[in-house]
Amino acid sequence: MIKKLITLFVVSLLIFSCKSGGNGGKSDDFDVPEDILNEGVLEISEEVMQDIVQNISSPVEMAALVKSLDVNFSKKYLAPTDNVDELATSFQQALHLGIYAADLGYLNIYNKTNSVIEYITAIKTLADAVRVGQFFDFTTLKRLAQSNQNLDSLMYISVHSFNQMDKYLRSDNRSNLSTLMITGIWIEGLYLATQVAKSDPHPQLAERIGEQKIIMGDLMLILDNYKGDKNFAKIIDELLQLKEEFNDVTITIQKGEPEAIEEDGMLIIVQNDVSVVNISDEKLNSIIEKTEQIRNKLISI
Amino acid sequence: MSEEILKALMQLFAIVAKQDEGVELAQVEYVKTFLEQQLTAEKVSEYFSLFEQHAGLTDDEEQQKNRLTSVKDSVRILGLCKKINKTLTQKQKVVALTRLFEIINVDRKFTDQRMAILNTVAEVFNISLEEFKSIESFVVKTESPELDNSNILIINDRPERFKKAKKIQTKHLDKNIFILRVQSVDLYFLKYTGNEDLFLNGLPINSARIYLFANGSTVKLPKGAPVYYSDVAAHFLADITSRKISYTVRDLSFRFPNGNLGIRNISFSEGHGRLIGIMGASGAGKTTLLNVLSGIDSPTEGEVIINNINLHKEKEKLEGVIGLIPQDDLLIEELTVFENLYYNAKLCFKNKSDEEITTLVDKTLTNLGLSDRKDLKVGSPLKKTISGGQRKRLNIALELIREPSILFVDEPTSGLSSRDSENVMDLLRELSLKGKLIFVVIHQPSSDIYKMFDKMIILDTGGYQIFYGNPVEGVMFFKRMDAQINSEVGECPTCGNVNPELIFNIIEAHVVDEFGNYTDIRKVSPEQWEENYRQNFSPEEVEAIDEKPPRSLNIPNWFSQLKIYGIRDFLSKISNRQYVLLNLLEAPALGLILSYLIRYIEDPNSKIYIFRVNENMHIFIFMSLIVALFLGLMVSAEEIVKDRKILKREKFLNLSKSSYLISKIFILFFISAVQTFLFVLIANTILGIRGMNFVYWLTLFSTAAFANMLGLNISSTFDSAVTIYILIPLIMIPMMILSGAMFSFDKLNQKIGRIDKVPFIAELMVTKWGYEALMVHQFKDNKYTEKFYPLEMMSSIADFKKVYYLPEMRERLARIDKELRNIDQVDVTSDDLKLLVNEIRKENILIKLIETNFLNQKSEESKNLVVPVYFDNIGDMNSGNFSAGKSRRIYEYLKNLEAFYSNLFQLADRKRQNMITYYKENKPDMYQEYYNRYYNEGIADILKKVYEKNKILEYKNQLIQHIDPIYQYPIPANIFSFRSHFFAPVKHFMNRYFDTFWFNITIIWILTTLLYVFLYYDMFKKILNLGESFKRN
Repeated sequence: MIKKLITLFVVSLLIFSCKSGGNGGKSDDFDVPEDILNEGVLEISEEVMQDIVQNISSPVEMAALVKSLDVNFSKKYLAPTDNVDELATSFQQALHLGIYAADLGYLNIYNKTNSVIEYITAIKTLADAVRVGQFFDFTTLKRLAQSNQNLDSLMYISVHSFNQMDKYLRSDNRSNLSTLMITGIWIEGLYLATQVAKSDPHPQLAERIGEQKIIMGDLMLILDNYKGDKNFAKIIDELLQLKEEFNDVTITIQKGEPEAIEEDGMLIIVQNDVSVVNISDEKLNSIIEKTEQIRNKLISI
Repeated sequence: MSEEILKALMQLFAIVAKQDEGVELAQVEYVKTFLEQQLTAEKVSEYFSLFEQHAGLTDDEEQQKNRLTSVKDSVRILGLCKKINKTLTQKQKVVALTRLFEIINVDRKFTDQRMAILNTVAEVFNISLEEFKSIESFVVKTESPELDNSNILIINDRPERFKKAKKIQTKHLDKNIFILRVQSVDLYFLKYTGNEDLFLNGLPINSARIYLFANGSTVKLPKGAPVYYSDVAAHFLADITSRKISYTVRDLSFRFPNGNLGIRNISFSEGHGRLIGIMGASGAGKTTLLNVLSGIDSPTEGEVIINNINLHKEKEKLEGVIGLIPQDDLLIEELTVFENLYYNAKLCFKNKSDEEITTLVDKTLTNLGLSDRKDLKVGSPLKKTISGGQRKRLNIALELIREPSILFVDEPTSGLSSRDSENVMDLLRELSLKGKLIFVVIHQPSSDIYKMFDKMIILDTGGYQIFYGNPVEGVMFFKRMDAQINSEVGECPTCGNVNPELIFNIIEAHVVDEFGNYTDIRKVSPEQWEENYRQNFSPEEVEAIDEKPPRSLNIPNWFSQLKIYGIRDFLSKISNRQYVLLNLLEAPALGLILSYLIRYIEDPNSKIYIFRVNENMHIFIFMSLIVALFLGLMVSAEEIVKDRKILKREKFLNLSKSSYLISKIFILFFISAVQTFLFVLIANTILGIRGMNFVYWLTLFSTAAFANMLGLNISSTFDSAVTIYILIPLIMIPMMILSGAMFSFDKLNQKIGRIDKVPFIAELMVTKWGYEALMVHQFKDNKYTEKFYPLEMMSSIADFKKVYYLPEMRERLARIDKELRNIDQVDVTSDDLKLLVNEIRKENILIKLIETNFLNQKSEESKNLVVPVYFDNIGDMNSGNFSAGKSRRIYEYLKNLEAFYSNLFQLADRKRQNMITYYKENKPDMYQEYYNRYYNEGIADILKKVYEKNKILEYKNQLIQHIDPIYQYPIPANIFSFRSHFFAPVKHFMNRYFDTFWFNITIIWILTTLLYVFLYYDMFKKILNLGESFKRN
């Protein structure tokens, strides 16, 4: 009996050591060539971009519009959060941060607090990974979301958080990430709008989609700074195709008279300019299609 | 006597008897009596007819004519003897020869022919001529002067002395008792020439006969002391003993720690070769006296002098002289009878070879009648394999084999049958006759045993010595004191029995009240008895002997002892099948249960196990450590308790304690190593922990080794197994709480916990070191993270500094500035300044670390990009000399620092991003596989403190980082600092940084070594005793 046990012990010892040895050999493959490490030092001229970026987008803009049109909430528009942990590069992380930010806006507008937690968690994870987590007050947001009230605060804090992150990234010589975040917000916003328009066509919505032509022009300008980077180049390529589609959209601005109105006991001047957007149904459809295509590609990385 | 020998004897008898004038009636009678003693009535006739047939008594005339043809007889004798040679042992042959002499002796016709036959027989039997002659003269001669031979012992009542023969003087005996020794076979024969009633072993002695005086035999004389086999043996052996002993006790008193006197004013004096009994009512202090006499306890007053050496003050000079056989069993239950004695002997005799020791052990076992039991396991008293008497004899054998000059035996006969008791006492008697001085505490001795003693010490309640002297005299003394009739008769005049009970009946007699009932009051108090004794006896001291007492000990060196202990322990463990099986199966079973239960798959619809998302890993690490602790404690906690009695005895042998301990430790470590190995093998395989088996094993083994040592300490501190098991939770629970796994160190009671470092009390917990070691190693040195870890560390440091640290520093600088502007000095904000100074000093160290560990290894390009920033002469700054200029300097410094960290972050993060991008593009599957297999999110979350609310805290004028402990260098306060925050990736000591894993393992071993020192010096026991003595005072 004891002899048997000893034999068993020795055999297992042998197997054990073989196994350990085997693993050792394999690890050599999991290496990175030294020269890869120092690639791609990004030199970016900063100041020019700042104003443009400021105007591009807000995570709640499109969502607010959709809500105002009395369109019902649908969860299927949202990007899934399952694979947050597998996003490895800060490129992907920043891009998704933007996408989820737009989704969070959408959820907030519709007061879907249950799902909000899921997205706050995802955003928190990504923000930490990109090391901008300090601007994302997870605990407060979670509390607000759970209390089911203070919708405005929730919205305010999330929008504010994103502005902070954006600002910090740019000040920290990481405007590439800021740009990606904004791209994410923009494309997800556009995606939401187009999806709604697809199932529930609305002239106001179509007009708003058409207006994105201007914003897209700005975005492409910023992105162009980073075309040296392989990953950026890929996105730029995709977006260029979308830009093609927008080429046929025309926007004319009709100048109106400035008007003084009193609001909350203050006198403010309003510029009554009106922009008229011309977009054919056909074009709208191809924009919808292209947007969906690009967005799905981005979230599948 | 076997049939074989009897048949052969009959034939030889016949041939011898019929020589010359033929068989006489006396010879026929002799043969008949002889047969009657050996056989039942029916068998007698069968063998007797055999005798008749060969002696020619049944033959007809014709054949009787041929009876003179001695040639034919001679041939037959030769044939018979050759046949006998093949079947009988030498001893039996000597017996046979003696019987032949005897038959001739019956008619006392020693013709040439008869003697020639005997000569032939002796020759064929290979009996030396000298012994043949001495047997011959022993049988033939009857007067003492004729038998003055060195092989003869004569017992008579005459004062005559012999040149060669030994002599035992006795009272009133009509003739002589002769005892012959046949040295070659160690046999004794006895014959008695007188007509009084003597008894050999209770049977009457016939003066015509020669008796075999076997081992343990007694001859009872009509008057006077019986003659024991041992007495006889001693006379023949007397030449052998040469070393002498004097043992003198003067006014010995012993006070217990609680203040009571255990024994009072004991005095006596003895030489070698004595068997001394110690008797007394229970509680009279017999064992206490024995302990003081043997040197275990030191007396409060008085002294014990052995050959002019004080036993208690010059112990080292008496090493190996004294032996002790306590009342308890000293046997290792799992070993066989032989092994018990064998390893004991090996520990006593270094010069003897294995064969010599085996022979010696076999001889001792044979002497004690244990040879047929030698391969049986001793077994526990409850699960017996050998009898109580055999156990006792084996216990005695342990000392006997060594033959110490002075031997103390505590109640050797308690619990034994009267036969066993006598055997045991015979042994001791024999030993004393060989020149040893033996003290025996005895309880209710039988008459025979009582009379075996040379002297008797009688104690009364309270430790009073109320008698010392000849045992039988003792009975007479007490009878006399009690004014009994016949007080001069010590023993029964008819049967010779002594009733030792009588003594105690007299001593403890109680006063009777008027109703005839016994009261509690004794007739004579112990003090009075002592007084009586002192008045009647004034014992003399024996002459002090100046030569060194013989030591019977030759202990092997430290290493050999280690080896012997090791083998003994190993054998005893391995022979316990249950123990081996349980210990081998327990660990893998626990591993299986634990790992199987926590093999968690996040996705309920998936069957694929992913190590990365198993959130239970940190608990697994913690639980494995607890398992290791438990296994280690369990296997060791009873070790020393179990051996305590054996240790007490071995202390007498002056065996090395460290070799005992280390052999024990080696075996325990081996068991623990196997157990933890099996545990890790099973659990790590099931949980998919890859490439870490050795690391896990080493940690768990180290923890178990610590637990082994702790268990041994407990085991040597406390006396019973129950106490030990009660104690285990008391040890385990704090180890669990303070491991850092259950409760965060910075969320403990403020009195214990602290923010910047692990609390001091937790530094003593082996679980903390083990848990930290495994968590840190699992996180940072797995095959996935190890690629990124240095870069991530730099990113983390830089990020923390930029985001939390530098803003805090600036805020403080601004406060100081403000005060400086307002009142032109630093007062209220002097704490802020202290903090700044502290932090800048630490920052200088940190930057140096980053520069040496990270920047230097990288390319020139990055060196130029990231320029280290130092602040000189920070020590000069204090609130007294602080100025706007200095503030400006700090401001500039912080600015540069921010730029440094910003660049550092860029550099590190870019490299990291590049690596990931490379993997994603070139080895996406492998990357994912490594990520899933080696990285664990649960552990990462804990080591990065992702859920921590306060990222930075101020504590004692320092800023404490409260996130990413795994990426944080511990900054030492001085060169000896080794404590750090929990989960530090590296540890500092003597201006060097060590990997946490190896550092922590080293600490565990240092703690283990410390426990060994505690164990060796019995520190815990001493502390415990100290506590008790405080309580008493």
